[in-house]
Amino acid sequence: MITMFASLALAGGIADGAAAYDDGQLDEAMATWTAPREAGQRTSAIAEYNVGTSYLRRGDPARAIAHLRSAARLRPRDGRIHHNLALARAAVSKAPPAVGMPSAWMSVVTPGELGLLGLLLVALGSGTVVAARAGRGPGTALGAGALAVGLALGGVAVAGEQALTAHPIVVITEEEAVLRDGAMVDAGERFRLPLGTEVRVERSYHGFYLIEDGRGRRGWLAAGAAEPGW
Amino acid sequence: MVVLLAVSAAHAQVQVHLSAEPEKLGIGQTGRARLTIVTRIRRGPKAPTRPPAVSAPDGLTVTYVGQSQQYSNRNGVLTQVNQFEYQVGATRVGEWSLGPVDVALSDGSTVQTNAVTLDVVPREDLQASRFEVSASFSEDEVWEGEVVLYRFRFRSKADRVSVEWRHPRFDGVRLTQQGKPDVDRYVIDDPEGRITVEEGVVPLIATGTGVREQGPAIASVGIPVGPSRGLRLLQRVRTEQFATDPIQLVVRPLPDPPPDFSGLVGDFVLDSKLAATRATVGQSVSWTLSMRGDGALEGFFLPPYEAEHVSLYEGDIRLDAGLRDGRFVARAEYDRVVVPTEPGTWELPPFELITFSPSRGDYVTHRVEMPPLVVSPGREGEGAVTSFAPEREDGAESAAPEDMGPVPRDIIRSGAATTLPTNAWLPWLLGLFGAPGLGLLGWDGMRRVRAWWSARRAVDERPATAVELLARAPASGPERWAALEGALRRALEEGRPPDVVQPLLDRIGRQRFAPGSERDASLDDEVCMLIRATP
Repeated sequence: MITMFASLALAGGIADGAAAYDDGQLDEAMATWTAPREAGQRTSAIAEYNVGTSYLRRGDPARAIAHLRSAARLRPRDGRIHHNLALARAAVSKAPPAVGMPSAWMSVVTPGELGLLGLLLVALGSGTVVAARAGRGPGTALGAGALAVGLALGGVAVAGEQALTAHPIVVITEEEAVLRDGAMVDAGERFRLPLGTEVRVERSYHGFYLIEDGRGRRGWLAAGAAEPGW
Repeated sequence: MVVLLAVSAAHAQVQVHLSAEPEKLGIGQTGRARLTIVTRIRRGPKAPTRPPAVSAPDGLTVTYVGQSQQYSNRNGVLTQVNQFEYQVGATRVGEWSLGPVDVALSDGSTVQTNAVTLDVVPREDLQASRFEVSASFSEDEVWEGEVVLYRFRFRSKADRVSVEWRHPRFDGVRLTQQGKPDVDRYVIDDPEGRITVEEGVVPLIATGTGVREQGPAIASVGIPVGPSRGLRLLQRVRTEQFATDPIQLVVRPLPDPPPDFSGLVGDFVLDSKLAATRATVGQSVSWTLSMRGDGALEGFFLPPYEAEHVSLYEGDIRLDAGLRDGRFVARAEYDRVVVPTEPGTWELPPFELITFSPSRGDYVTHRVEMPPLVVSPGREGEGAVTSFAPEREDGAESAAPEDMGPVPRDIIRSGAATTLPTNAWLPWLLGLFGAPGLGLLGWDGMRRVRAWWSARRAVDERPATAVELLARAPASGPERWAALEGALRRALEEGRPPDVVQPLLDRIGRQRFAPGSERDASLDDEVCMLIRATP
């Protein structure tokens, strides 16, 4: 309940940031939209999209990609997000293929939406079973089926969200980032990745990310060389 | 276009290769030669089943030892690798050439292997030390960025030894991303005993310039103690360590590079293949650039290529590198897509790549000439522009904007700035809403299981009927008469007429216990008929 009211309170942040954006104050606009993240909350797709678009306007395509991917994660079917993301990727043409989502269905529906669908089926199935027991409504088998499907969808949604949270996407913001054998500045160099490369974080350690790129190559990347998507 | 050298084959689907180890033998020693034939399964000719004849020069003897087969699946291509092994004995000092060997394939064609040179020298004296370790670089001086091979070697006259290597922390060089170290172990048959040799190669890239000292490599040798036991696990082993001498590598800095230097160091061969030389406007034409050489290609991207009247898009990169016959070889294929934008015959500019050649000590420009591209108009015909805009009153034509490139979509000006995390509430809500239904289903399930279990137990506790007792009776012998008697008594309890059952019981009693009584031949059948008859 507190979180809901807090989100409502911060809804005005989108409009405030838009006003600063229209005045040409990009820094102030982005600060307004990223304030929830600084406060430890999860920013919405709208805030991430606006921040990404602002970076694109500023000529920083790598950071734009990071925030637009975060927005796409929350609104996978929004054409505006995909349009701007494609523009940002086109501006970093040297980047190798981007790493994808953990599961293909996340490109179409979010874990929250899938979980909500599962929840509705669970509620429907549970209600049907109770009604059948009381001698009303269709049989128990139908309710049990809906319950099972709903629980399965809910389980998939929870697992998907956990996978996304545990392995976020980061985008390289340096012209050429060095990937190393270990989480140390003097560790051996493995390979280099250009600006705008989208990679998945396997784990983090002492200011370094163990990442995997779109070609399956792994290495340790200094956290300062990348912009986290989420 | 630059033509790639083929490895060694007349057929595109067959590869043959002859190798020998070691390539240096003492007189009287015996090494091994291996003839490898790689064929594609279900495509092209097959390898011979009989070992190809390897003729021996004057200073060597060659004897066929055996063969092996392996299969591999690489990127969906199934290949069969046949290896024929030969024992090579050194009889005279000198340099001798083994091969080339003619290999007859299943379709009647013949392919020829490469030749291998073996150096036969007077026999070395190994009495001074039972174990020898050594390490070296393939070259004493290399250029910055060049691939250099670190070779390490262990040689021993002791039998059944095992070796584990610990390499030094390399200074000024690093491991290649692709191309794993290669370790080979073989035996030289010497008149004074077998010599075990283990050799390894590690590909490295020189990253720091100047004189680089590399520390010793440590070989931990496991030496069996006592007589040989059947299982290796039971064998007692003593461990000794041997260190190689430190070695030095001189890394020369590259000369001042030209402006478009690609960063590649090595001797490379570049090839290009354009899928078509005729296309329509907007059609995608694949263009593949392939490179092969002895330098590292990891992390390398092709320089941009600009040409008028076409758009270029980058595609996939396929990279492969590793050790082949003790040499580092890297291969890469870069896919690009060329999309013509205007009809006409267009001379595409050549593609150039500047690398540094260690063998020449200078920068080399690889130039690939592109064929002319003939582009015909697309489906829309001449491409004339038709305007659907309303006519202006002043009669002037609307000017199309000069730059029609895509622009970013505008920001969203209203909505929620935060969102609820799914995992915080979903599992709880699923449990809350699902609990009533799951509880009822679980309760029903438990009741059904209990009922089934009770019914099963009731069946087990019911006494057997006369028919069931009859079915369980043994086929013959005194036990059968006892079982038949039990079944008859059960039949009596079930309500069969006593005046029918009792005489049969008496007859069974006489059959079982009366000494010297004759066998009642029909008694068994009468008892069975009575019990099986429906009461």
